[in-house]
Amino acid sequence: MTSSPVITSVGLLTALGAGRQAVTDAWREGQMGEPLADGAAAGGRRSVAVKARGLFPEQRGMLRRMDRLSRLISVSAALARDDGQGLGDPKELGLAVGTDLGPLEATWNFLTRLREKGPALANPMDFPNLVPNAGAGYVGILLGLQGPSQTFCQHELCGDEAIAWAADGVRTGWFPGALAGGAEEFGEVRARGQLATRCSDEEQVLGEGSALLLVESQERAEARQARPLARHLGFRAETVKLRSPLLIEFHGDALERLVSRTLDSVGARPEDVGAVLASPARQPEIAEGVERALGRSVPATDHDVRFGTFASDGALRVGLAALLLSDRSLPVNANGELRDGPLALVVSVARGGGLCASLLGEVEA
Amino acid sequence: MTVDRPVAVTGFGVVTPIGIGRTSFAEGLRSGACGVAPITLFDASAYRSQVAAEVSGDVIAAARESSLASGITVSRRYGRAAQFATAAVAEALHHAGLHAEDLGDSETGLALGGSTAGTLEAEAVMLEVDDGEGFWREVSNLQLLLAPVGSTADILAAGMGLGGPVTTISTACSSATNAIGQAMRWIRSGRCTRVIAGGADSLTRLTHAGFNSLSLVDRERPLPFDARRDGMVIGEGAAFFVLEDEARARARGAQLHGRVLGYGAIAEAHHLVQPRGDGDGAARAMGLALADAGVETDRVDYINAHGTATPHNDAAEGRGIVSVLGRRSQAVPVSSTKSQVGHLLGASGAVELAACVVAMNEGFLPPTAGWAERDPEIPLEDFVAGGARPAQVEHCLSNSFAFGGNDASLCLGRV
Repeated sequence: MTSSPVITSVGLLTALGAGRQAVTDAWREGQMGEPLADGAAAGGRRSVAVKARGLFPEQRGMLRRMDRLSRLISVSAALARDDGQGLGDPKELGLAVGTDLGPLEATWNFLTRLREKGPALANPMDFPNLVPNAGAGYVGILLGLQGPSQTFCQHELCGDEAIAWAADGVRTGWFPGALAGGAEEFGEVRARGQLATRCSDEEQVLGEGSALLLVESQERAEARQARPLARHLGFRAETVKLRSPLLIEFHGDALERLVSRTLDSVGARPEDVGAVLASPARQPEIAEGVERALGRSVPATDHDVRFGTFASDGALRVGLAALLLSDRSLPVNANGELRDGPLALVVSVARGGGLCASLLGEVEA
Repeated sequence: MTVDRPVAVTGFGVVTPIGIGRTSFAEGLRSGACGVAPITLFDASAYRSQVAAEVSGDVIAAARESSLASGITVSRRYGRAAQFATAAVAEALHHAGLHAEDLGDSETGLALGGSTAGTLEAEAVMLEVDDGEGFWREVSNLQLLLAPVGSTADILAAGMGLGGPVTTISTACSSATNAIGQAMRWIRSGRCTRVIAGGADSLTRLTHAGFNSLSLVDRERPLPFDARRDGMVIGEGAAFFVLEDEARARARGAQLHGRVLGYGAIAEAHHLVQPRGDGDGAARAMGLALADAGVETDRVDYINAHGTATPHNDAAEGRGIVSVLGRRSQAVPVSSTKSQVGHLLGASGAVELAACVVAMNEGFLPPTAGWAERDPEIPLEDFVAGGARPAQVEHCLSNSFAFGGNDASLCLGRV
């Protein structure tokens, strides 16, 4: 397993705070995220723009042109840049962003203007922001990332998948490292749409945020004396046939098979998994499927009520898993449970029948 | 452990403005047909440009034989983009001699590139109501569920009963090329033995208005690489391929129609909309695809260009080709299929790769329809002007460049 890619920086912009230290402190203290109803997610709506200006003081013009989702992605990219030992040579890095809904609020606003003012007055400054890869495009420019760039949009798997793409690219020698993760914005259009289609319910805490991690080869990390937080050991995605292809269902048996295959694919033992970060966390079918695969109950995070949920939050959970693996004293949940093994399992279930599992491991001292 | 396996094309299917199905598409390419016409899908009278390359004809009827043979239902229920996608997938599976019942294992995946999904249907509601509240009263749950770009893959995966990984990549105009590249990587690494890969997009008011607002749309027809070019014309359609581990494909007796040999992808990190003027991004993507394929530049017989017909893109791409091929760039034919089918946005790379497969298997070069006037800013010689022409193509490149500086190129080889 020594050749597995390592995670060396995390850029977290969440309802619990911005940056590794703030998020870790709030998590350790068992804090809950700021309620979104107050517009305080990710430190408050206005403060995302303020943060962005502080992190990219030379690029205020570009930041003004961005939509909100692109700003979230840019801020978390800068937080990853400023975390740990930074990014190293950015030109050789790839970039992958997961986002299910993309720039939804900006798209709504563009269509509203189209309806009210007509096509002749469509704003040419707005349209480029409406492609899902706009955020990745801006980050590439801001940080000078010139490797392959992907934007993944397969619902709740997209954040996990972006990081797995980066790990695979490093593992196969395609590129030496990549910034990868996911982001989603919160807004009225998303909230109303999710409630109308029952993709969420009134008990679910809808969240927003962005998490970008630096995934790189161990050799690159060593060369720049960057301390790895965790290893990305493996990833597997499968699909289960649903009664309705556009909805979400939970199949514990399918998840059990997926987790077992993921462990087998990297030669890992179920008893070594010491923490589970699954979403949606409170679905009993998910917990039971994972428990059957692991043969026991493993401490699980309560991230969904503390960060809120969003489709690409698999990236946030992979980042949290890396932090749990780098610091054994960091509790897995607000109950203060500690991880009891050297591996962390991140599981996501998506609309359309997608399931995925990522396996992360401790880095040997 | 990294496993490296050759990736074969064992089937493909297309829905395009110049023909639905492989045979019609090939005939359209050969004849130099142009699918650009006045827009009928919505009232375009208030737009700067009122033309587009729409898919005309009955897609469901055209796909009937493939649908029955492959077990894939093609219907209007899930919207226009999904209808194109299911029809193209049904044809691709039929062509490959596969049935939906063959695809339930965990080693068969789906990689889709797209950008619009159910936007056409949802925006129709949005633009017909008086205010935002009206939208929420009128819109159906199905229209909401179809709006996210990942929904097209949901419908395909369910229709095929797929058991392996499913992904949607949305990097604007290079989406499908990146999806096919990802599929190739899945097979090469041993993650999948077979992947259904391609792209689908429909015309929408949103994209038409957006490109109009940027003054990137021609009012008549696209003229790639021509001195008179004045912008793209938006098209719609889909193309999907069955890509297989070549050894497995041969073992089941499948006919091979080409090999996906290499994939290059880069970020320009330059500008969100405009390419680098020196073509460096385009050159890097092409160079990486050739290096990945292990194909020397003197073995490239044809380039299917991104060729949008916008002033900046075509000049930059021309310089990029010169940078990669050197003096040989003057001898290698370069054409743009967008001159015939328009710009299919997220699906463009898939349809253009299908044009390459046709070129290799049918022995002709698709033309740059309408090309007549040389532009001194584009340092290339041969645009396949004046119509399709016979040629034996052993290796070719298919380019896709996108907003966000997402450039990608695929290298295809003849079997």
